[in-house]
Amino acid sequence: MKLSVIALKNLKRNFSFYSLYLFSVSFVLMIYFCFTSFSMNEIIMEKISSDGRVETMCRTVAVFIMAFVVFYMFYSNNFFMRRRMKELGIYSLLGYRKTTMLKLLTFENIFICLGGTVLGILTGGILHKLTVAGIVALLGITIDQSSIPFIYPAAVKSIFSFVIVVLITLTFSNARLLRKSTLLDLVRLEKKTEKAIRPHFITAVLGVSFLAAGYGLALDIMRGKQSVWNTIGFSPIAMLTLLCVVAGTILFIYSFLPYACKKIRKHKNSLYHESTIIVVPKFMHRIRSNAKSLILLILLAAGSLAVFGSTVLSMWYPYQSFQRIIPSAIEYRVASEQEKENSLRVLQDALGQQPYEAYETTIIKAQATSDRLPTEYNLSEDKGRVPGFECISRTDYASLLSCQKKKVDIPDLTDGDCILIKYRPDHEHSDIGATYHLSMETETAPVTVIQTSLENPIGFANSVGTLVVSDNLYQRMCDSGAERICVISINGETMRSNEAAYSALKSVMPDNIYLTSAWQRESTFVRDASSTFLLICFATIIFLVAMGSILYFQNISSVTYDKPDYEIMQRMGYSHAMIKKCVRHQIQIYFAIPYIMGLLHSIFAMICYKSALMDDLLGRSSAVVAPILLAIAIFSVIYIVYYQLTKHACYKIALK
Amino acid sequence: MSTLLQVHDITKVYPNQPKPGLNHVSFDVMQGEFLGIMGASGSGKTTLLNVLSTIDMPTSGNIRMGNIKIQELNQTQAADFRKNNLGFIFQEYFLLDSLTVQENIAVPLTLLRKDAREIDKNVEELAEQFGIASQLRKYPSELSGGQRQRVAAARAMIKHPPLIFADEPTGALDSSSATELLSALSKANHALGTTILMVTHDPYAASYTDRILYFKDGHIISELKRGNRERRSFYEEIMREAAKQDENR
Ligand SMILES: Nc1ncnc2c1ncn2[C@@H]1O[C@H](COP(=O)(O)OP(=O)(O)O)[C@@H](O)[C@H]1O
Ligand SMILES: [Mg+2]
Repeated sequence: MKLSVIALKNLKRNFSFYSLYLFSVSFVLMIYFCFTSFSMNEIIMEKISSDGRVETMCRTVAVFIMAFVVFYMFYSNNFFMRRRMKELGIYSLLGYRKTTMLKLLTFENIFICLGGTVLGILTGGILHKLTVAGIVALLGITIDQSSIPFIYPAAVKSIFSFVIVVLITLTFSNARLLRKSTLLDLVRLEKKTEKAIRPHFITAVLGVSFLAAGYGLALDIMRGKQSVWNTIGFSPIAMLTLLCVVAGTILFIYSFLPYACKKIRKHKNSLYHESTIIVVPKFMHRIRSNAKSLILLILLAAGSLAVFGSTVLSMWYPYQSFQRIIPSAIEYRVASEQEKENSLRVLQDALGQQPYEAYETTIIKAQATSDRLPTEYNLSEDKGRVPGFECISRTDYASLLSCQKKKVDIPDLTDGDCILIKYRPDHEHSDIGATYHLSMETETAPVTVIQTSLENPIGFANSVGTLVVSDNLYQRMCDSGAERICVISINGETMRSNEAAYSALKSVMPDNIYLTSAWQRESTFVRDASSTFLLICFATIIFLVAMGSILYFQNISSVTYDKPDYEIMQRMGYSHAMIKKCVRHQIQIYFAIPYIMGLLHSIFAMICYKSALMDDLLGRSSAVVAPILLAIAIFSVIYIVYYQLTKHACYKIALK
Repeated sequence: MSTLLQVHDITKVYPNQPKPGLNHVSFDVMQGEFLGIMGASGSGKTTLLNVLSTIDMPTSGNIRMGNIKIQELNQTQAADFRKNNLGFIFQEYFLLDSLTVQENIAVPLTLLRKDAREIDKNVEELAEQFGIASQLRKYPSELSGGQRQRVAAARAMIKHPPLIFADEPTGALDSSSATELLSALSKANHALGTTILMVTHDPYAASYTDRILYFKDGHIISELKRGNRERRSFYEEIMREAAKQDENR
């Protein structure tokens, strides 16, 4: 009989297994195709990316996806090969040569990969269309969706060349495996490959210590100036942390988990339990062959969540600090009385009945000498600002804050006191007690900082080194003829989201660079950030879905593999409910490890990122919570969906 | 002796299979009996064991064990019934690969929620009896066929079930391993009064039983009783019966 006939028969018998392989390959190729199409889609790119940032991100993500597809194809091929060793052994017992078998395997792989590619292209095309439709709907942009082709020829070319390269490498790897194995191996390999790991106490402890050290280092960054990140250097510590976490993860999976299993198995009171006695040994038995994919899943989850979280963080922070940066709904400098009257008239016309307040503040620019000048004194010098303080009176300060509906306790000020407005939060209050000698034309006035505050009543664009002085001193400074800046602040209930007010003012002073509007800044920011946000969501979801799929296929195949065991268990008196419980626990372990560890890794990474790289204008470390929660939410939703899918599919297989 | 199992007129028809796997089979099994079942392959022996042991449902007929109507048990009740009353030994060992020998034998008692120390003690005693005490920490894949079969037997017997089903338990064993296993079964039968139903091809194995039912095409064609005879003379009669059946083929 020809081998192809036998092989065809075998295919028929193992159809479900082959189709699992086919579907998993087509699934990763679908993701690959969808993504390639997306990055080739100039119509949408033009809309969502103004500065090429999205394109760069796409290219980076594409590299990861490719690496992932390669890994996945190798993983499933190896898995598939191992499952078929017995069959190959029988072929070689029947006298078929290894080259004939390799030919057969290659044909099968070609068939499955090409079939998977065709399926992947079709489903990927649909997925791409859906993604575009989703983005269009979410962003409210208008594009002609019918002009986007269903299938990009270039994407097809790219996926085919990619698959062919993968196929060639798979063939080489299969050839190596076949050449390496003797007849006896082939017959016995199916069971033999899973040699139990002998866990060592030392490596187990080492794994946990590495993880603890990595996390510790990550947390240490929050100590600020005293942390090793600052004293030793950022990049060496970053490398060390990464190394600790990766090494810790590897040892944790390879050593700690088997060690923990061994301990449970030794402890008979916990082992002798209807599901534990099955689940724990099974897990330990499989750990060697599953460790690589578990580690990959953990790192994949950690990586994509950390990137997601930090991107969200880098958008969330500026958004949160708008309240501080732009304290009034609209603010602008006026150079003359006429400009002022013009602008206020136009504003009145534009706003009509809507309630608003316009408050005029005159800022006095003052130079000072001191041995403890604050950083704010010299800030933005490179951008052309003359160093100095912007002094306002206590009355103006209080009125502005009340216009802005901010409740702040303001101390009474004597002529020798002042309040310093900080740009960055300073938890040590190191400026309190500093004395500045404000120079006026004929005299200098010493003022001492009795309070620092983050609440600048005037935007930092107009006033960085804001110093609040007593009304009396302010009056004296006014009289001294120092440089004055006249700032108008507009506030009111709905003013922060009022487009009309800004447009009207912009039309009368098109060249006023000091005109800032909360509405204008926020809407520009949201427009720019949302495309980045969507893309990062898209990429993260793809990665999480890919993770979920690996877990799905891995669990399905291991339950398929264990099916005879479940039959034995049923004979011994395990009821369906008990078998389900065993299956469920087994799946839960596989899902829980990447979930918990991936999340932990990424949370520490986000904390680290926040402390290291964010310009923290709020001084609130709680702001990191929102992105973390968002990351957890996305992760959990996808995970729960996959867990349920996997669970039900596995129940069906185990009890069929 | 009282009747343990009453099998009344059971028929098993497989879907898409013209001939029934079992065709109107009736017989009784006594308490403490060691019953052999012989017949050509495909004659319905495994089907019979599956139906009797609640693994499979008969198409018609009924089976009683004491007051329990076996075919009327639902899935959970059937599992409980197997857990409390039945032990299995199969030709293909059927051990759980990822569990050690010790754990494999401990599973049935674990299911019965026995105390951990009691389980350990029972496993050790039984392993000693079956000559596998030194293999307890090994995995099934590290054992020889005979050792594996003994582990399977120990697993079936550890909970002292009233009824053991054995499907060609000696099929894959060399003669000395087979003898060991058979004497272990025999011992359980005599000492504990365990009822055993054993399917076998091997006249030597069959000679350990009290009574043999011969199956052909899904029904019983004849029966041999050992009575008070020596095993050896029973063996000779089995050989004669085999020769007779050969002629009728
Ligand atoms: N699961 C099944 N599905 C269909 N037919 C079966 C199944 N199991 C057994 N049979 C058929 O029932 C008959 C009896 O089989 P079996 O009880 O296994 O025989 P034995 O164990 O005596 O060799 C055979 O003809 C066999 O083909
Ligand atoms: Mg049989």
